[in-house]
Amino acid sequence: MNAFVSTHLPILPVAIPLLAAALCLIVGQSRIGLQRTAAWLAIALLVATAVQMLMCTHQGEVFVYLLSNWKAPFGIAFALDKLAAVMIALVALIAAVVMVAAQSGKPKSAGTYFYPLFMLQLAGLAGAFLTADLFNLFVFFEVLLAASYGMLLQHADREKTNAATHYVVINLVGSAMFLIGVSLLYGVTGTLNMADLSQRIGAVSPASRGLVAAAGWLLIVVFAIKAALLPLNFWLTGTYRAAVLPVAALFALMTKVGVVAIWRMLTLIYPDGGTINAQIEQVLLFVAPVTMLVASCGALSARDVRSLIGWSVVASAGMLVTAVAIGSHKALSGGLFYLIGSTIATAMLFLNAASLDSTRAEHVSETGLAPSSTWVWAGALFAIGAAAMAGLPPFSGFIGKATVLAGASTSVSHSWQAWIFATVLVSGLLSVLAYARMGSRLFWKRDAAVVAASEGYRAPTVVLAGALAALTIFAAPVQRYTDQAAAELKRPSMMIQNVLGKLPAEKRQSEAKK
Amino acid sequence: MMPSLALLVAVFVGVFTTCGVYLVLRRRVFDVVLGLTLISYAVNLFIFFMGRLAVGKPPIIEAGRALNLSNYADPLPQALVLTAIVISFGMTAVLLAIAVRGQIENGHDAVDDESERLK
Repeated sequence: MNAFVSTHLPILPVAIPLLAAALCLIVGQSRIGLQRTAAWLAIALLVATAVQMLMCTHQGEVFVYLLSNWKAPFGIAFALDKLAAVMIALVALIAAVVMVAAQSGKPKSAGTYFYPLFMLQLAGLAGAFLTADLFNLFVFFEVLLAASYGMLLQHADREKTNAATHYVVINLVGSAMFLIGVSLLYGVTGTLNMADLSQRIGAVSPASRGLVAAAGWLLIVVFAIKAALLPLNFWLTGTYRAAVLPVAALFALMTKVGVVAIWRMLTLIYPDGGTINAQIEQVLLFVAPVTMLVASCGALSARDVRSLIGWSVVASAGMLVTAVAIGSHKALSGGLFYLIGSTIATAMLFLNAASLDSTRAEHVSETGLAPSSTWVWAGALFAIGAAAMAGLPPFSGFIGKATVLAGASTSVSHSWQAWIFATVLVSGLLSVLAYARMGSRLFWKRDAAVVAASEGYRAPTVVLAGALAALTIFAAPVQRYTDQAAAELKRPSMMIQNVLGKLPAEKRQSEAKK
Repeated sequence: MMPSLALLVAVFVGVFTTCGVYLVLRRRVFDVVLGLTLISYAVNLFIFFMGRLAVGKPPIIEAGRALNLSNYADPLPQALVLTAIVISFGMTAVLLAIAVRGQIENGHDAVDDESERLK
């Protein structure tokens, strides 16, 4: 590996798409082919970077990148640990698939300025996963939200405009609360670096503890909005219904940003053993399983595929937050495994829905003789996605859920155990019912309006199905990796040492000379 | 520090936030936009004052001024507030554009589609 890449690795997933976005804008809307080339190039580089990241972090090293060569905590630091590497890999995978899907749809179906917005969204996602600075996290949230507003409003009709209004307003309120929380923390501790905060929050004077707790609760509320936890999830289904479908597949990553932020917060900023951490975990242990239950009921009540998938996204967010609320090493590892599987399954279901959807309008008047090979493909892919999403064996959702439950059985009290087992299993059952009902309505009903599925989105959907199958077949190595990632999360001291101990570049050289 | 100044600032932040929350909870998009603007004012003031109130102290090192913390204001919240202002300004512009579009599409200014009463 050459020296440039190894030094600058953590910044590449942000820098590459940002450069590509700028290039796309310079090239302009008239030369869409050049824009596409730039986007493809960026995605190829992003995939290569992600693979490199997975290989580098495999040894258990935390890579730290100091922006502008300012030593942490004075400058902004990026930290690449196993959790970040996994998330970047997911971003790269979904981005590549969405890119293929965007080509195979009808021309311009993804809308004007699709490529620059897409690239900006990728930069925002990657930055949010990599940054080790709380204010910088806010900035990347805004970057990815701004791009998502633009993508959501493509082909805006009445429904989309209304959904976008709700989505933008709730995110602006969330941003305001985020800023209050961040500045409270800065006012009390004098730092915004997550590693530095982790050390200083333990040592604040008793008079300031209330303020630190208030900041913690504010941040949890903000991340819960992004992750769509229960009382704050009502923006999600409307938004996902309204999004153009290849874009909705990309949105599968957006709730995961909130989830990963909650994970970082409860393992690094407010580390294990603190009173605030314990209080937040107690509340999340109640809220997250309720989210799962309510979301499964919502899935049962869904009348179209998009709402159904939207509700399952909420349910999977509930599952992931349950994992961090349980807090044990095993639960975190299982949660990370479930996160990988559920993100891929969501993206796949959205793409499959897109292939059903795009023909609906054109073929309504044709004869009802449906069962062609495309139809069988769409049905089979729907079944695979549904099984993975609901957590049926042998798919990855089952392995993840089982690991989380095993983690719960060793680390929380018996009454909580009963609660978690009951909610996870009941919500799983309800999701299976919801998907079975939707599947039979879509594919078996004679008078259904849908008669044929388009083949346009089949290739990307099959790729994602293949990824799900690979996740099941190679579950052991992936689980070893998630185990190590969870171990890193449970031992924040290594992250803290690495971030705060990293020396700026010229200092390193002069010390090497000595 | 000046307790009266701190009290004044705290009251202003509180009043802005209260009015903002009230407006955000109303049914018209226009009121919601105004409410979000007020909230972002409150938030910007709050960030700024989290670097402590300092009167007549520069955030940048000056010749002839002794180099210790009591002589200077904290420059970081000023940088943060600049970022926050730019972002909230841009987002408000986006929201206004969406609001205008919603007015055209719906024929009314209600946040929710159902509340046709506002027509």
